[in-house]
Amino acid sequence: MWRRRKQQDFNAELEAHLQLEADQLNSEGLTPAEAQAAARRALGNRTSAEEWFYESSRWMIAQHFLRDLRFATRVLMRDAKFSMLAILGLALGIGVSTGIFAVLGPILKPHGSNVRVTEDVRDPNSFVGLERGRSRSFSGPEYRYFQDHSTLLREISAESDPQSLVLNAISEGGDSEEVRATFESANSLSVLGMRPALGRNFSKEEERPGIAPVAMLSYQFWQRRFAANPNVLGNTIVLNAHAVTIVGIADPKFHAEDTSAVFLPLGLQPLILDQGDWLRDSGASWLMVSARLQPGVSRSQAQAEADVLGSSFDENNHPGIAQSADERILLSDGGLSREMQQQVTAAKIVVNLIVAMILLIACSNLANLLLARAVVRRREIGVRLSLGASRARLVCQLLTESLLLSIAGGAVGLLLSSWLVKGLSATAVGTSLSASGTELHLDHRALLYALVLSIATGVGFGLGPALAATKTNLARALHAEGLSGPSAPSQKMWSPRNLLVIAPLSISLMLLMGAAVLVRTLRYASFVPTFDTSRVISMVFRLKAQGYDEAKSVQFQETLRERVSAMPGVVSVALDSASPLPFLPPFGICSLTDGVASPSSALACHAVSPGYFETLGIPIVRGRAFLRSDREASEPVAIVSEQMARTYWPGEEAIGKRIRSQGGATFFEVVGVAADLEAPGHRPPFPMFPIAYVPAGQESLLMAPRRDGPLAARVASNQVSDMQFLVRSSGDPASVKTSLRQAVRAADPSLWVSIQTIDERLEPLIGPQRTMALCLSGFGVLALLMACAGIYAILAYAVSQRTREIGIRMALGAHRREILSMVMMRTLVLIASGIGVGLAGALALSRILAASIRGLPGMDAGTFISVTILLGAASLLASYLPSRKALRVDPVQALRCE
Amino acid sequence: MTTQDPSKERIALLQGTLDLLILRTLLFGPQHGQGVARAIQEQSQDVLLVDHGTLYPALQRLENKAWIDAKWGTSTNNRRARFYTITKAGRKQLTQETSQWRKLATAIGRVLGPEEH
Repeated sequence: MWRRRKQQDFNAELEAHLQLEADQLNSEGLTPAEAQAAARRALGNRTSAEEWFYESSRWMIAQHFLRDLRFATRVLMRDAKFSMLAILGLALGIGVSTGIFAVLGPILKPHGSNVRVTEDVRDPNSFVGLERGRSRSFSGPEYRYFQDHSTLLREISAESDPQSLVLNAISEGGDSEEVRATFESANSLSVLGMRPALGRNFSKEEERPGIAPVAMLSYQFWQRRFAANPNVLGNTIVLNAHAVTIVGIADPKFHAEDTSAVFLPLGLQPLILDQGDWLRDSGASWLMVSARLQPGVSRSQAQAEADVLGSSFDENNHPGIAQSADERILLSDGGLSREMQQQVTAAKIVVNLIVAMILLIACSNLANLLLARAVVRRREIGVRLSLGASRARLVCQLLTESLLLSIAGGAVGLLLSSWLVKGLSATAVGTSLSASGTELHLDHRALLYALVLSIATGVGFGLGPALAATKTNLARALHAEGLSGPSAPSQKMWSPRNLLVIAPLSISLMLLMGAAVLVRTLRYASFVPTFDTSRVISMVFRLKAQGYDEAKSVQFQETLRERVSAMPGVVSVALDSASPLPFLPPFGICSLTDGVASPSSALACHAVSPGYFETLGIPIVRGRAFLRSDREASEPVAIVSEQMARTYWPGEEAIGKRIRSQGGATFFEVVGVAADLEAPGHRPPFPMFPIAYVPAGQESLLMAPRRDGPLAARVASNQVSDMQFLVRSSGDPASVKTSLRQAVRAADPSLWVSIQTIDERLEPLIGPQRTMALCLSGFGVLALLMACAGIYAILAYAVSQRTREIGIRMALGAHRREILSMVMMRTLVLIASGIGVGLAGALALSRILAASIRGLPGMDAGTFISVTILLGAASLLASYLPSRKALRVDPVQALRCE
Repeated sequence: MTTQDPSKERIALLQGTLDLLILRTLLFGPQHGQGVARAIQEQSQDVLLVDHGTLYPALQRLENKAWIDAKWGTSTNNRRARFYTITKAGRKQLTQETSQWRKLATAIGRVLGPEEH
């Protein structure tokens, strides 16, 4: 093999050759002096041979690189101001875009009941989800009908909506907890190509009621709560007061994207939920169905079969009722619902657009700086070229400089983004996210992303300026003019240099516009309650699920209520059948048969105890509040919200009207109108309904169970035993919460209870939106700053280039105003065209996005005008500052500088 | 920058042919660089022009390819010189290249036709 030979050795060999040759020539008759000269002539270019040997060394590339690196560091250190600017600008771009991925990624990840992460599915092409109607779900009989009759689909599996169950303390002295559970068919795992990590799957028999209670734990829950102990198989846990045996641990990927803890076989639904038998109820849609296509079957064939089966099922079960078009069964891709897919794609597009735009601004700023520098160094480059440096070597060296800059920028950017992420995860959003199982952190993908980004930036945006810089006319570069001569191409409007001003300006205009529109929508979507939500503590029980019957529940509530009323710091206590805010259907939803509104319009129905309105701090605007005398046996009365009064009896007096719920037999007389819970003009991220209040004890009259459907059953079953406590505190809510918890423990230590202020309950719903709004406006401002910095840099450079010209003009008697207008004129044109291009782009983008993304808010003239003015003003300021410098040019100094 | 004898028509070496000539020269035994240059010139009856400066990079190239070996030694007139020996791989290469060269020469000769005077 080739061992490395030293340069000296090679040189020595050449020396030896000369002597040998001279010896021989000498012996052939030349004088020694002639012989030596002839030998040297015969050898030819000795230096070039030596150089050849030197450069053929395999360490050459590394050596060049190291030398370039050293040189680049020196050059960058010498011009520290420039380097800092470039690095900071890039760091902002890279840091923010890396941060966006880490932060917005999890927020935008589809949350919700029926989202399956498609990547986890084996062979996703044959995997289909079935959707029906608006609820996108199926009833038990429909599911079985499909299983029995479909020939083109196999492995038809079903999974229920998530249910929250109460899990009694696993260990001695622990707390009960609320867990998320789903009911699963026997093949729910196998249809995804997964199998239990431990233990067994559910069997086909376990899809039918009357079986021994068994459960499978989610892998994550098993690790968290059972320390991944394999001996847990065969143990018993208590779910909703029923002892259930653990028979398996699910695949780690199964429901890994949500917080599911327990999976139960379908057959356990009637027992565990105690809300009727949904398996046989064809009116209860509660199952998400997915399946595999039989080999060789296309999606359209399966769709055709689903259409046929759907209508034949309806024939058999609801004869005579024509199904509307939106009740059609649809096959969706990979189990991800169409709407979800659209939302996810839309969110991804928007986020990527934002990232790309911020990056583009950062990169164009870098290119700007590099170009400006290259012109300044034109002379240096010219000298090097004329001394025989090859263009490739020079480009390499300039590239090394820009790479060094961009990698430094990337490193600082990574630091920035880690701060950004840390800062954000410390906020309420972070905590609410980690509660839902998502941690905010920079993972290796983000690191890789930042690295690739900085290298691509360094090469991509360094190459252009490097090539441009080395394409110099040597004669001109070395000439004095080369230092300050106005370059001809920059006079053109669409020259690359000018584009570097126009592009970031227009991009930041688009970004700002988008941010403004989104922030406006988000603010609109936020929520302003009319009462002090930080002082009202709600205490939620799951008494029925924990085995309390009605009598026991009432007794417990009475005792607790007395005890809580006497507690220090408690102003008043009331009971409510549903959460006032956020109101979460379907519990407490009902509709009215009588009244002007259509029968489908939903109401939030609350059965409340006396003192409810003063506890929340909601004034009764007209009529009266509930009294102690309004009880089960007394005349049925109701109080309605102002919104309901407006909706149902516009322009009429609501008091004295009679309402009756659909399916209920009793009329309620409206005796009062209560203020709304939220200020008008907003659209909160949870449903808001007109509200009807009835006195506790009379709710059974209002919400008489309907014959069909689980909804009424759920509503009925949720009464009395699941009344929640609302407590108004006068002092620190935290200390009141502690004493409330103690009071509950004293009454029954095994009870599950959730004690939170209404603010805390609202936070997970409105927090992410607030962060989104904050982030977006932050990005908008950042983009603006970066664009302004770019304008500033380019103008400052232009002014410094024209120092001599300005000096001459001033010496010849030009006014300051003329100089200022001369310098600013071209900038103004640039700014105007930047804004113009940006406006056109924003319009086009909003058109394109609005066409592809549903629910995207449109632009309004107000936003358009204010953003344009803001950007115009900011960029004018950025260009005015360097222009002022032009005015301070001392003519004598300027003329003497040559 | 080489000496050129105007009376003789000399031919600059084709790319790659120098390697062949060096290997061929070394076939007769170890030789130093200057000796190789001389040998090529003499054997070609001074037709082939070897630029001594380009010989050494070529020798180094062949050494890197392990076709020749090098060792410092003493020349006949007691000068230190670097002696080159052809290796086994070098011999193989030489056979191969020689036959290729012959084929090429014949082919080109055929294309060009009989020599014209």
